[in-house]
Amino acid sequence: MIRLRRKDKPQRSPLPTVLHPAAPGRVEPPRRNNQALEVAHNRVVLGVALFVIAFAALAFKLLEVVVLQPADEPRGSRIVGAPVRAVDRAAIVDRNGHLLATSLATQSLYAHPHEVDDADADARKLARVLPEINAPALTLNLQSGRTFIWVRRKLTPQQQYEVNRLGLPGFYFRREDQRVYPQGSLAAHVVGFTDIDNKGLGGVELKLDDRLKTKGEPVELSLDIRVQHVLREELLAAQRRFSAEGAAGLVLDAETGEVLALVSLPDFEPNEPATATPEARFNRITLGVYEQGSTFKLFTAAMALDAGTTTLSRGYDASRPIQIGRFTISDYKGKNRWLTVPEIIVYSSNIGAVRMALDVGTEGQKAFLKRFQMLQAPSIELPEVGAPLVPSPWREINTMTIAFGHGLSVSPLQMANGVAALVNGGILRPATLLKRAPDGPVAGRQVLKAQTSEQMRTLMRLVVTQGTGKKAEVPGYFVAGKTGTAEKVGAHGGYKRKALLSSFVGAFPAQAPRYVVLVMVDEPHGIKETMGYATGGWVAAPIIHQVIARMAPLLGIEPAPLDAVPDRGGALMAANGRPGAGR
Amino acid sequence: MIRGMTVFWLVAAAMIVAAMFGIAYQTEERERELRRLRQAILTDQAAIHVLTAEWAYLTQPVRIQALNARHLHLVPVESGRMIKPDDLPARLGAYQAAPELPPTPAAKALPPGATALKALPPGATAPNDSPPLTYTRAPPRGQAVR
Repeated sequence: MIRLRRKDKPQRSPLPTVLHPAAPGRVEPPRRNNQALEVAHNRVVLGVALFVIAFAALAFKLLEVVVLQPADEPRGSRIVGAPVRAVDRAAIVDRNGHLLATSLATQSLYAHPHEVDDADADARKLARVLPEINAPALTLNLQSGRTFIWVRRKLTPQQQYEVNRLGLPGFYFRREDQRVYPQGSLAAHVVGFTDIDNKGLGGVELKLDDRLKTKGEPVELSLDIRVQHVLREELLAAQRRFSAEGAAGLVLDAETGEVLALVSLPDFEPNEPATATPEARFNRITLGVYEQGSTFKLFTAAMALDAGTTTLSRGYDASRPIQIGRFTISDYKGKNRWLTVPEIIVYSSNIGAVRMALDVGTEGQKAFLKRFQMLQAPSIELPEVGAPLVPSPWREINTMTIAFGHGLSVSPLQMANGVAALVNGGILRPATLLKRAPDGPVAGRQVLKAQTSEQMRTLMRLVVTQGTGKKAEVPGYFVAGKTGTAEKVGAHGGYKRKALLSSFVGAFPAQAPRYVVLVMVDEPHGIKETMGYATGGWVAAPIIHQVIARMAPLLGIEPAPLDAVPDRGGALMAANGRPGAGR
Repeated sequence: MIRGMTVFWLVAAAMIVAAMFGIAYQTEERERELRRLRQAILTDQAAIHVLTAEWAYLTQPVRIQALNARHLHLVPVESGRMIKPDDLPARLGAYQAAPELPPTPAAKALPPGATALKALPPGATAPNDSPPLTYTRAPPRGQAVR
């Protein structure tokens, strides 16, 4: 443009030239010039206009972005969520968050055989750093033509380093989670175990397998490992002391049905599930069903009291054994006289229990036990649950034997759950291994009158203050309970006199029970300190004493001053009247 | 004038370009930092995960109990040796708060809940007329408070 102007009219500005029509002699050239200039000028204007528009658009956009800040633009800084580490399988923790099971990352060695150059040499090299490997077998495997083989799974970091150092082509690592149980065998029967592919094979690991796999957050169990440890230790000591085949115990929250501790001995090491024998894996608390023996008399008494066929001040004739068919029902160390209802429980009289049950009748007993869910498998978050052995048909003889705990086999879990309902005001709540929300309402069914429950607490307290359960008492905690000694059924039917199942089911504190504790010792042998006795009062009651004395302070339960609850056992035992209303 | 404007725009454009590049580089730097931090968080999480497992292993009740038996010799508190704070006789604080209280024999100054003191065996450390604070000491081994 500039060049154009200079050529034509170097001294004048283009504008006057264009506007100067008064030179007729030079019309043609200027017109041509003017025309060209005009075109050029228009083009320049057009170009400038385009640029102006473009820059205006840019400026506007700039203004919009910087000053106006449109609504959809996030204001200020955005907080980017912290990344969450992916876990293959959620952890299992106890009610206080102590780790019971977790997954740790390990490296597993695998091979693509077709990429391996010298299978024989590689196998020998690997066998040198991983002694568990069988070189010839690995060679065969590498030559088998498969596309993928595991060489060795879940290596330690040291082993991984050694293998890496060999630098073999065709061998690779893959991250795999290894299930680890830091508490070892402490809660083995509850937590369970997994196989090498982290698939649940027992306990909560199996029952909640899907939840553990899909949800990331840990599963909170109702267990308290401190209580679990106390229970396990005391049971282990008793098992050793009485050379027993096994022992088992359970601590249940009487108000919520939460299981605080569940021990079944012998137990196993879940970190090495292959070493566990079937015997050790057997859960005596939930899977085993046993004739409970005298502890079952509690239900007989509660049934009779609740049905109104007897009162605490009534009595029954226990002076002679009961003959029915070819059976004789007699008392162990019987008093051979008329016994009041409290005396029947305190002295654990079979005859008295039978007479109480007969007053209620077979149908009444059946309905009562059904209400207590003694005739169906209990619900709990474990796959190992045993169904009770219920007599069919249920004849009068069954009513009589069930009255003192024979002829109906239930699991200790059912037993403890039923006792919880007996003492907590009569509300049966399903036992659970999962922690309940604190202060949340707990579904339950009233299965017993509150008044009967109060009477049962009195009776159970009497057993400990006056009767067979004296060794269970812990000063200040008012243990209530009932001993039981059942004869085990022999291999060929009939009962074995020497093979006992000694148990104790207790609750404390008696006036308002918080926890139900059940222990059971399988085939204890009497020792010198127990004068050869292996009954519930000699074997199981001392365990209850130890467990409660150790767990109650841990759980923050204050011992009451010793004069807080007057023992009114004497009055009751003498059957002089009904128990006082006050506690 | 036009030259002045041109220079101004050129300078402005240069500054804007420089600022934009600066911001772009800063953003990149921040993003790198973010990636690094996220990676570090993941690494730390993995480490914490392992440490939690190790902590659980090291705090097994069995192990703690064995360590206690070897080093501390603590034993569980028996239920008979526990009393509530309210059951204690007047504490030192109560004395300081009420200076007008005459230094009467302990039996008179005691609140009604402190009757348990009478059960103190005669051989215990507290003579009858010493200030109540003395009673808060643990009784000699083997002697129960109640």
